[in-house]
Amino acid sequence: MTVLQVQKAMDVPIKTLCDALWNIQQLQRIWEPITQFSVEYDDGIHQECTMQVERNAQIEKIRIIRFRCDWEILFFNPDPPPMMRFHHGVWRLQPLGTGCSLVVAEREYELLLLPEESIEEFGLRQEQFQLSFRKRLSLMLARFEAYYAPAQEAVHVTTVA
Amino acid sequence: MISESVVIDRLIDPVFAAFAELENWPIVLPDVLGVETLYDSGRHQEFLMTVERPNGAETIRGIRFCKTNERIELFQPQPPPGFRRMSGKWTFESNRRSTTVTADRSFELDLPPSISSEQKTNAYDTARQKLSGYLRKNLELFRASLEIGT
Repeated sequence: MTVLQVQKAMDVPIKTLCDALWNIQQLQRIWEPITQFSVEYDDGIHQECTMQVERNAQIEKIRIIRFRCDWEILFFNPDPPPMMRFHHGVWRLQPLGTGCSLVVAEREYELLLLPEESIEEFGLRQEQFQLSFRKRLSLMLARFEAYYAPAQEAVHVTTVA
Repeated sequence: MISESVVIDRLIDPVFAAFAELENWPIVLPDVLGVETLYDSGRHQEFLMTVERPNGAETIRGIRFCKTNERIELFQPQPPPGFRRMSGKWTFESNRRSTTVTADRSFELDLPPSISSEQKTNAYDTARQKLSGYLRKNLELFRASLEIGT
């Protein structure tokens, strides 16, 4: 099993971030690889949805189940991405003072061994995948920061004017 | 929300495991006719559970998030007939040699919009009573099953 953790401090209130991570429609606005989604169940604390997500020019169909507990959103994929045996994780948010938050993205997954792939080749692919997954998560967090930063600036300018 | 508790004269590890292991449910609870596990990583579970009820067998689809020896969070995207929503949790508290298990449930009934407020109140009261009864009975059956041989 591989465990990944990426984190980023942002000048965005914790509730705004947590709501954006929970609301799939808002998530899609911020993270463009989500090409389609359908929310099957959402009571505000528990959620089930299906998504089509673009990764490396391929569309992956996944089902995701999430549970929101305080400032954490835990999730798992009963139907994981095609290259994985399992995939689950958590978005963990912490307040960092006035209007700022720390977002920690934690992921646990296991890749599937391809037919006729040697252990050495599998090990190399695991390393490459981990690097690319880490970059992808960092990019996602950067997108969140960029999405909310201009809005905050605009509010500031309006106030000054 | 409704809540029921039981104190089980066993350490927390076997008590948590008894509730967390889905295959254990038909063994402990006689009204559970079957469990089909759709996904189980130990921490995350999706399953179909069929239970015997006065109006016939009911199948629900349940999803659980398990945090060892602390809590099992549950929701039912496919709740029992008559319910629009059903969710809850079991929490586990160690008291040295015994364990307190608390079952909480929140629900919303699937009622016709034309129903009067009095009928609605009565329907919720009846549902609360029934559900509390099932919770109490189930907790007691788990207690008895775990304490056999004491």
